[in-house]
Amino acid sequence: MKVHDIIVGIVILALGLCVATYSTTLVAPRNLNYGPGFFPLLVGCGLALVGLVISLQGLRNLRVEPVFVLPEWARSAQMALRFWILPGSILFYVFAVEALGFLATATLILTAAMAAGGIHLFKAFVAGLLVAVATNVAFASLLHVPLPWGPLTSISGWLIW
Amino acid sequence: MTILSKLVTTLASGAFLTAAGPAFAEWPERPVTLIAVAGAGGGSDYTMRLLAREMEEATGQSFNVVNQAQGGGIVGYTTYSTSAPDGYTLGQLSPFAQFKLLGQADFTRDSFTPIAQFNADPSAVHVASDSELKSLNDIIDALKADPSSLKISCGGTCSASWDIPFVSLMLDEGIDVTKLNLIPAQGSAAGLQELVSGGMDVVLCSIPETDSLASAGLVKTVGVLSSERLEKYPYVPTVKEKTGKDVTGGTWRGLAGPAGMDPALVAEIEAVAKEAFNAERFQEGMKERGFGAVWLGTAEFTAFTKQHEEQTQRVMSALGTAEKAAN
Amino acid sequence: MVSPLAILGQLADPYLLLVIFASAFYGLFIGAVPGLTALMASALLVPFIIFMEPLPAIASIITASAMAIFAGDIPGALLRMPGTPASAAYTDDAHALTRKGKTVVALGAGLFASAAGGLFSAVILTLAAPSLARIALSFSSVEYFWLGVLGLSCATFVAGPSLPKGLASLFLGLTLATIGMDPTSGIPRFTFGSSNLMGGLGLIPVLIGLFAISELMRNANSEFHGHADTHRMGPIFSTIGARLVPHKVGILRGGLIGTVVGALPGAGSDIAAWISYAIARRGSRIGRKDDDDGAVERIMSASAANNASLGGAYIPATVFGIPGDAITAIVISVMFIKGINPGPTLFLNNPDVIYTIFAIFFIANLLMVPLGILCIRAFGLILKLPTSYVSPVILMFCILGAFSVENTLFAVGLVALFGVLGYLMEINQIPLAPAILGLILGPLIEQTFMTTMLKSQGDLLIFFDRPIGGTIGAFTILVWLAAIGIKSFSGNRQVELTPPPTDAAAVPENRRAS
Repeated sequence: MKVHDIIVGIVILALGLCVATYSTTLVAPRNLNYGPGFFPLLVGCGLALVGLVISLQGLRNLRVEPVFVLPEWARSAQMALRFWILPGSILFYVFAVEALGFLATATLILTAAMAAGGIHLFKAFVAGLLVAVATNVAFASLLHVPLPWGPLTSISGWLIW
Repeated sequence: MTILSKLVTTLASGAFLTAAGPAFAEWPERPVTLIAVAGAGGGSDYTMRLLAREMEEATGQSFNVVNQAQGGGIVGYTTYSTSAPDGYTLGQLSPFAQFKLLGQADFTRDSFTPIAQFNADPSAVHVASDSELKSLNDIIDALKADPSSLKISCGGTCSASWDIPFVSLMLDEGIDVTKLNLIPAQGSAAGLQELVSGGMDVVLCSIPETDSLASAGLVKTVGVLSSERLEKYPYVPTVKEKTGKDVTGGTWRGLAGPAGMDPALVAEIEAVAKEAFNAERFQEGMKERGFGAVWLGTAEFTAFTKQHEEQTQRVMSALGTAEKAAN
Repeated sequence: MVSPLAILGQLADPYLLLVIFASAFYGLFIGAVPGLTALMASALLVPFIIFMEPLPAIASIITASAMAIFAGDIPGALLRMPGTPASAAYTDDAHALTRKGKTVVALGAGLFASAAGGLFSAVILTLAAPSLARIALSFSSVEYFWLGVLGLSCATFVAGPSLPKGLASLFLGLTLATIGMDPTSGIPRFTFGSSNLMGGLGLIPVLIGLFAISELMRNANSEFHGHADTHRMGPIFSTIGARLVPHKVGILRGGLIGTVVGALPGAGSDIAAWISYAIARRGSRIGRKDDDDGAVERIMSASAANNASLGGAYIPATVFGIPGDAITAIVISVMFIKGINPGPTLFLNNPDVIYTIFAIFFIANLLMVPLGILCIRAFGLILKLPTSYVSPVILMFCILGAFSVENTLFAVGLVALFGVLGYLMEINQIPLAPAILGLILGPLIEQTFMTTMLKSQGDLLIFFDRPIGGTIGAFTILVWLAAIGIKSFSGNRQVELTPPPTDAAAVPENRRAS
């Protein structure tokens, strides 16, 4: 999703202005002459300034560079799937792991991501399950990372060593 | 612990409890999560793990300590005070009232079910060894003459465990506390570093935290905010000896759960915690590291949290920090 | 001084040696897996070592953290996913060597320089810890403020071809650092009523998202093999052995910078590596060059500093109980808990314990060489598996890595968010490294500025009042002026000499195709 430098600059400029404006709403508590808004104000102004410079420099290449370059993943549905499954499966993890438990969620994510990469579904499932069990044993059972156990919660005491 | 021995103890304790037949005979029938509102390896983490080990021993179930230190502990408090009140998610309860008063969080003592307190460490007043301030009275005199003349490090965030009792004492001394120059630090080590480098005049924190620098002859403790001298530091005078005002306070650690827990369940957890507290290994572990092992049962601890909220409220209103946040 | 025999006696315990070996493998594994970090390696050890005997407990954490810090270079060089915030400084240099088929050079340089830097700091630690610690203690918030501002100037050296875009990334990092409670007054900023945002954005989830996930996304439709034709690795010893001599100055300089910066409480290995990288880039004849030799010099300086800072951090830690960084903070608590109370009396009363701890430092850094070579080879083998298998597993470890440092699902969500952001930044040629630098330094700078202002009641002159602080301050201002001057001068010239950079726009595509 490459866009022209002018647009990049404008986005940064806008972000900087938002940060700077927000920071002026932060009031300083009692005896401080530099309040919590001081540092964000400086940083916001800095952002806005470099955003402006990037836009101005972009003007020089106004015609040379395209305004918008279609990302690689937009070329086919499969490529888009392979691309979006990465952030998508992390979000799926966030919302599903408490209910399903780590083991099932990890197996699902691994199977789906491998299958999207072109691996046969059954092979992907076997590989996904193996990796999920291995990481569950290593991190939850041995290293005591508090991974959710989902339906296994009631017997998890025996599975943490 | 092996699976087999865990299985055996679980079955054994299960059989015993069924025979005895109290209301929540089955607690804990699965692992319990204990949330420490501080990072791995710190004092809170250590005391929580000491307690967890003995509770594990007492019940045969695992007690997993989970560290959620983000936002000075706000994240951890929010996590366990909003979880199910079933006794399987408990957490550390330490000075909490300032968060609400500063507008940082909306939990109060009604958001928790206090179970028991197992530790209390008094705040203390420290100066550099080469300082012109030789005693607590020097500090009070200087502040009486000009309240903003001394740079005072809170040994952590301000309006927290260490400075609230100190400011409380200054209020009793009739000093204009709104003019005090209280400076926050990234923890007591950072505050002490400032003290030694000459950037601060006074640091407030617990005494064991200054052990290393005191033994190097760089830091001196001029007063402790407890009602009696500490066993490990008999040479440090109390505030009462020096000023006649019995102001005490500091940090404390207790076990709590979310609001709305069944009293029978609470009683059962309290009993397990009491057993853990009395275990020899727990007592030794606390003593070795200089933590005060102080027990308050459910009733006293609940009353204490109310007192804590009131003291914090009084000091912060006087400082003007509470109103500021409310506006 | 203490008799060497007593130390050897302490070390001869087979249980201790077993613990050292196990921790070494554990540290290498955690460090080498993208998404899992050195801080995580130390934090996860705590529940195990907290009830161990004192010496094995401390040996375990020293060994694991040293190994993990080195091993963080491996995914940085091979996959462009730095394993620690410190290796983010030289990831692009190391990865460029890998793409040219010189993995052995990139990783060998990192390995030998790490070990050398670690040994260097161990020597200083053994000889001069008590006196150096006193110097470190004379630093107050003024000095730290200037050190932080000096560190920010490193951003101009990793800014890539466009200075404004590099600065944009830096400011973005600084903005992200302000989210959460204000460090002095505790007033919530940019939190929008969320208690998760109140805690701020953790450095590790942001690092994992920006670097690892965005890299996975950019390669979603290609094979890692494309740029990893590399695993026909030559012998590491002979390849690097010949290179150590010309770069000895760089390694020594890195070791020195690392030890000094590491010894300053609160500065730590991340800042040490960045400063050493910047100095190699600007201040050294070899490091200034854009060829392989220059890259090796920079990698060696920075990774020497990286590991040396671990040793440096033990100077104030063992003498005064003041932690140099997050990892030593954990070590100090473990020492306290074990009854080995840090302090000058430790050197007087228990010299055999403290010098045994230093000896463990030597052992860990020596052990790093053979085990590191094993680890590099094993990692190369794993990468021979098809990307379709490897990439989902890396994704899994990224989730685990973020969760186990922060213990919140919110941190896992951040990984996804910053993955997308990192992808967008990269494709629009905004470099990622300055953002991490901003996130590391932002809190330090703001905190020390505010503290100083509270101390002086708002008088700005305090920043030049103290002798050390004033000197560092003047130096920092000079460096900044020079950095911006040189960069904008050479930047302008480049624009004039080369045709408008249509090719540069395709950098990511090139990388994918090669």
